[in-house]
Amino acid sequence: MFKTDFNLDEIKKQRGKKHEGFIELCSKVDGSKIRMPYIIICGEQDGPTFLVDCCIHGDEYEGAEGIIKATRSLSPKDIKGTLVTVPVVNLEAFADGQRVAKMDWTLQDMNRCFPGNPEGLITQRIAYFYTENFIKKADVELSFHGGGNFLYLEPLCAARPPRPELFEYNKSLAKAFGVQVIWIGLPSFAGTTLTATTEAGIPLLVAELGGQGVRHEHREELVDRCANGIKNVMKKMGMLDGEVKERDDYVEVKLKYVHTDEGGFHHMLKKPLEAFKKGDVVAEVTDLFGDKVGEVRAPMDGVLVGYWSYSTINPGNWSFLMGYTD
Amino acid sequence: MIKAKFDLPGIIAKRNQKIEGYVELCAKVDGSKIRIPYAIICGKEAGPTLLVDCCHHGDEYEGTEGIIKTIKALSPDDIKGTLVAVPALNLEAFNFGSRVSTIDWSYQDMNRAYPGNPEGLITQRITAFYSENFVKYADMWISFHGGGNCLYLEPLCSVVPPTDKKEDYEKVLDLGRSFGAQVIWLPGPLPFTGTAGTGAEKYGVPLLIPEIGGQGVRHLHRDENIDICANGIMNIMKKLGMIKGDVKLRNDYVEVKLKYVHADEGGFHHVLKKPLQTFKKGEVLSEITDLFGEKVSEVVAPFDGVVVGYWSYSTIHPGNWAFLLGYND
Repeated sequence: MFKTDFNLDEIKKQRGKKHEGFIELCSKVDGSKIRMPYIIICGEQDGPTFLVDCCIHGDEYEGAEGIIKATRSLSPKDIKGTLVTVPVVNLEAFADGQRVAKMDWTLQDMNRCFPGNPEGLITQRIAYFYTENFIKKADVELSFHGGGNFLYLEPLCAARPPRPELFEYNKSLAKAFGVQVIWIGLPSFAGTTLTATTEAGIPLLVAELGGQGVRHEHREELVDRCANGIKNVMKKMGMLDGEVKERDDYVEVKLKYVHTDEGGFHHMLKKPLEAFKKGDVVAEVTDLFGDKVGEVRAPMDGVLVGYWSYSTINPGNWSFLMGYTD
Repeated sequence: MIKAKFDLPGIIAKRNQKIEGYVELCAKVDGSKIRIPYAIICGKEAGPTLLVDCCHHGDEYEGTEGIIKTIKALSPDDIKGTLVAVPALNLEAFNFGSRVSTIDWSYQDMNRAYPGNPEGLITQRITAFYSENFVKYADMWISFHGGGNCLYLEPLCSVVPPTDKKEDYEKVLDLGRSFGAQVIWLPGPLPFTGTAGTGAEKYGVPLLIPEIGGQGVRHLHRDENIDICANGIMNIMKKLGMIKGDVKLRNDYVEVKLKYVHADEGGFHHVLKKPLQTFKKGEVLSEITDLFGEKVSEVVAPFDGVVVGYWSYSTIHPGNWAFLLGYND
């Protein structure tokens, strides 16, 4: 159990102020601390509490940079309510440039650990602390993810309501974020942030932007889209002045991960947002002599939303992320 | 000592064949083998032996895919001499998708492990075996590298002459220009020893080290970079008289020595000078910021020069390479 006196309620009482720093959670073996960074802007006027975070997976940086950019451009005068941001939740994984932290006795994906366990492994403890001290005190959460080191993802925003009657409101916030692809439907695994937001009863947005495969050319652009997305949702929630312009080209889909049976070089035959039919070959896997050893076929009609953009793929890993409608 | 037998002169002596397979070097803990994959095309007519390899660093794939593409495109009818290809030398690192293999007791960068040691760690044993059984029999060697997971590199070809003789230098520079990349990395001081150059020197083999591609550009440019690698191999084969055709030289070469410049502090790495942009000594090349957006450091140009590569990952650790900078004496 962490012994820390961090109290978001007390911070929120100090209106008209910008707070930043690290919460120290516990000691590491070298005497330094496991920490959680925060940047909180308490507007002069009261209003909703909007929680924004990134790097629950340590290699998904665009949202972290977008959060930093958005918070630097806003002052307490601009805001009604409170913008609570944690640019990097999984700081150990972030420091290592990896999806997951290496120090848990058995490796833990933080986005499979919610709502966490205060007496468990360190990643489970962090998830629990974050749920209790941040998520349960927010009115809406926006959690950034991205392609990380290996995936290309068409910029998208998921709408994850805590209960069905909030679906339309949650979706209107996702549409306000500003990307074309809207992910409706549930995640395919247990223990994601949704478990915590459902417990807290608050709408969740999960935005997926960027990845190493596009950073040479598009890093700044994607960071801007993250920063603007935060502000757009704040406008929609009445926390910032201004209108949100909706797009006229939304692609609203459920998503399915399709895995590869064989390992080798991964060659995509379809491009992002390209449609395909059930049975179409979407990717091929070849060996070190250029011979085909596997194909990944579409399990249903749909559209390509993301793919494994690394040159090689291990057997069983995600080959592509496809959108579909029932 | 690796007990494997691999008879490259015997294979070269049998003309007009295309063979592929793995050399099995020794057992791993799971009972599978440490291996070296090869694809060899012995042309109908005798001629020079060109050795081409990639993935001394396990995450630099563009050359590997370029080698595979070239091998697929050629038959013994097309070739004078022998094309010996090893698409991925450091197969343990390649399997893991990382620069170095994780099975050596003390991590070894394979491109610092030449000429190798037959009684040493596995990565040192592989370089020793490779030197003795492949490099020794080559007339010319192309060893592909690239940006891997974390670097962007402007496509370049490094020229490594086998001796100090002027005619050897001129010959390998001519071959380097033929490869087709704009940037030519001229011989100069390196901050490390034990690269493939050490292996090439031992047997007097001229060496080209092209650096092409990286994860930072794979969404948009993977196929294009593979083609640069495949065409580069073809160009060198033309130049060596192994296949028919003329090589068209460029008129925009940037011929420079290179220096690695390291970051003093860790954080988000923001590059202000882009590849092929020139700069003056003292100019700020990149900034490093912390989790709150505050600047914690700058990387400053140590001389007048041109940007050739940079750390394209969003974050950088203290002490890692921020830039690869070109300069002339």
